[in-house]
Amino acid sequence: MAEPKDKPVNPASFEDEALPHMDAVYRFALRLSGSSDKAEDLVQDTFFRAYRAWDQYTPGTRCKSWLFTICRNVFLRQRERVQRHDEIISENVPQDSVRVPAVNPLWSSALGQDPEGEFFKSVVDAQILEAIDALPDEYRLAVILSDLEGLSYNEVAEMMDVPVGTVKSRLFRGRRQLQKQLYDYAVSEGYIQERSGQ
Amino acid sequence: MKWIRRIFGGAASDGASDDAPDMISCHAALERLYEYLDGELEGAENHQVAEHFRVCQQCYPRLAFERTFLDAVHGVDTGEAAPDELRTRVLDLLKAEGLGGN
Repeated sequence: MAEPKDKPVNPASFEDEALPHMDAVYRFALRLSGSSDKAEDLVQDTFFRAYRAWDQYTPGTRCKSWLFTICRNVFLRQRERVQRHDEIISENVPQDSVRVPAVNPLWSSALGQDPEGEFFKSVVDAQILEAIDALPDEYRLAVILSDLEGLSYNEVAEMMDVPVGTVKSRLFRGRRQLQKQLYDYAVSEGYIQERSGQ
Repeated sequence: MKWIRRIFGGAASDGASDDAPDMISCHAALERLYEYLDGELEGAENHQVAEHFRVCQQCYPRLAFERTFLDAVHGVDTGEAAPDELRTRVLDLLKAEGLGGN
């Protein structure tokens, strides 16, 4: 048997605190990387690094967010090795609090036939996931963390290392794009008619 | 009551209803719509936004639209659990690093 290496000194048990989140980290890795093979490598690397850094984890804080942060960092590092340019940071998203336009153009399109967005209920889960996967990286990350994993704006901001205002902005834009894709899907499936039909 | 007329008589969603002392404008409420639905608002601000959507029949459908959308996304069953083989591999790796060791 391999001799135990330097064991992390932390009163919280890695088995109790970290390992139960393996499914969530796998889902997150899958959404980040887009492939099950890459996701498995990411999960393995994430838990390896998390175990090595376990003494840096603060008991009582949200372990899932901590693991997601490690997973994202591993993902970005792997990607940087492949791509010289960091595409993720180069976007023109305002850093300040988002000023949300009062009118959602999609809502205006649905007005008259489905103002409360009932068509969203007709869209199947697989289609929603596919639409999320198609979002630009940073919007996708914000939507995954907030809407699929239930993290707060502060937790997402900490994870993404951006101000809370940027999280709001990315979430807003990501959701708008997602709505548009789901709307187009609903139209193509006949769940709703295009506005021109009114 | 000017704001009542504005609300029930067709409030503009361009922020024009900000002359009511106790009621935030449509624009102010819609700007905070996601924060409100995400449970990110607290105290008086949360109350103000909630109250606006409760009273304003122009804005309520917009709230309902976004809520239906978010409910659909939040309710997605990803059905993606870590494969058993991966779980075993990770555990083996961590055991080699000392996990569970005495």
